[in-house]
Amino acid sequence: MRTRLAASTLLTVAGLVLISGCSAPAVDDSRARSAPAFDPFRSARVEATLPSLDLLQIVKSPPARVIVESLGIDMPVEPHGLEPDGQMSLPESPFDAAWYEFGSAPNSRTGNTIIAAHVDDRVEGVGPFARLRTVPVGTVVSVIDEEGVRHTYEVRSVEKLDKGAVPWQRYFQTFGPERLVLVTCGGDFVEEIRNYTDNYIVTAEKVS
Amino acid sequence: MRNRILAGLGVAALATVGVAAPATAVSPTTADIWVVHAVPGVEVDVYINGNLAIAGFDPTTVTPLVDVAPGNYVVDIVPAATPAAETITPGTGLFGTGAGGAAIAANTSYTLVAHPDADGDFVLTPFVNDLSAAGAGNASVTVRHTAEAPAVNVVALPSTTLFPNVVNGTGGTVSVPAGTYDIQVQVAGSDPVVVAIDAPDTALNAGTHYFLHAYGPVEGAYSIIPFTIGDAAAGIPAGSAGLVADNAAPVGGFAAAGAAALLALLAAAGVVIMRRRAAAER
Repeated sequence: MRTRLAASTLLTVAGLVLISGCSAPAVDDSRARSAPAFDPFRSARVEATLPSLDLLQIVKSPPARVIVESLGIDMPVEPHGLEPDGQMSLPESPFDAAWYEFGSAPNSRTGNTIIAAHVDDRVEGVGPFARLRTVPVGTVVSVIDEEGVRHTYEVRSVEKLDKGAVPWQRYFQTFGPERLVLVTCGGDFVEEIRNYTDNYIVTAEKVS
Repeated sequence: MRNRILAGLGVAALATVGVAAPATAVSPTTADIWVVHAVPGVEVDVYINGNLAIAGFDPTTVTPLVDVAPGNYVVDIVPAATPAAETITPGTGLFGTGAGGAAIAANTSYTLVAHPDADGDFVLTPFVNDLSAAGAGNASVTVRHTAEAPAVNVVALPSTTLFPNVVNGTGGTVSVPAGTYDIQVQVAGSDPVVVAIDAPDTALNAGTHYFLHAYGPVEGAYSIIPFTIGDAAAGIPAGSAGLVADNAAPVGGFAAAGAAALLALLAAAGVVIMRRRAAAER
């Protein structure tokens, strides 16, 4: 049960080639590994590996606007991190949205871009994200990033979850399918803590 | 990319847990598992306890996070077949955990890496992921030597050794200030230095844990299979007025909303400007 390669290969070849930056190496099928021990593997294809390295070189382009045309939502987005208590920080105005700067960006090619906004404010009233609670599956959501590039997503689900029960690490994924996750509040309002009991979480998949 | 994780594998205890989760916490009742395919040139099917779990798993790919119940799991890896058999006898795969299986504990994050050992034998190594926080402004980097190659040093150029003398099947975790690094994997003890992997301009962002798996050789060259786990927020407190609450009294609620809207008309511009200024000063 072994495929092996001549012991000298590492040193000889490592000295020759190194994986650099962004261009894929030409794969020359004629130079198969010497004496593979099993046939099933011989016919298997060799995947290009450089896209993986490329992923590490992407500089995130923060979202600048989030747009849900069919709901009349068109909001500016600013980068936000964490409050000292570990909660995500948000702009005070429900008319401004926050992008979670420690997560994926729309150009990351992997993982979830998280954009959240207050649903309301005592002074400014009800914000645009209040309309998300009834967003139909299939609705198109656009994010314009700071470079002016438009990223398009389609809504796959709308969830209303008790804040104490949201498995946040599942939503804050930085790896895997490219998604946009829009978050706001809802459910009952608890006057003592001036906050809502639930989160509305809209998950959309990238289409372009 | 035709990887798919099949439902109903006996592994898929996709239970969400009713506890607020701190940053990158794993569920107290289940384990998080990532599977990395680092055997060059071999598309495989993965069986867990004899049941097909991942069909058509390509080299260099990583499964999205899988949430599993704790227990003992027998993992078998076989060359991909079309169609893949739904079940096999546990322990009869080409390689894997063997019939004895591997113990998976709750509240733990694992990466299972299928890779060649230093001699080219195929092995499945379960690594436990250290998800402790990197600290504000820092990134975490975990490396795993999973390539058919001798011991290596992992270096941030020009001269910071992140991990010395890492041998196949082992790895480590460090925390570094966020930034852009030129990372090299160098053959340990080589003089002049033999660079096995060159990863220039690697962006290590704050709040992100980078898991880097050495891969190769493919046509004599080595590369990295990366995935990341981001620090999660503990929550998103996204409302402060109760204007659209389920428990808002219909009349009072609307009145409050109306008043707020009116107030907004009169004062919002000024307030917003004040807040923006405050924000700018922060």
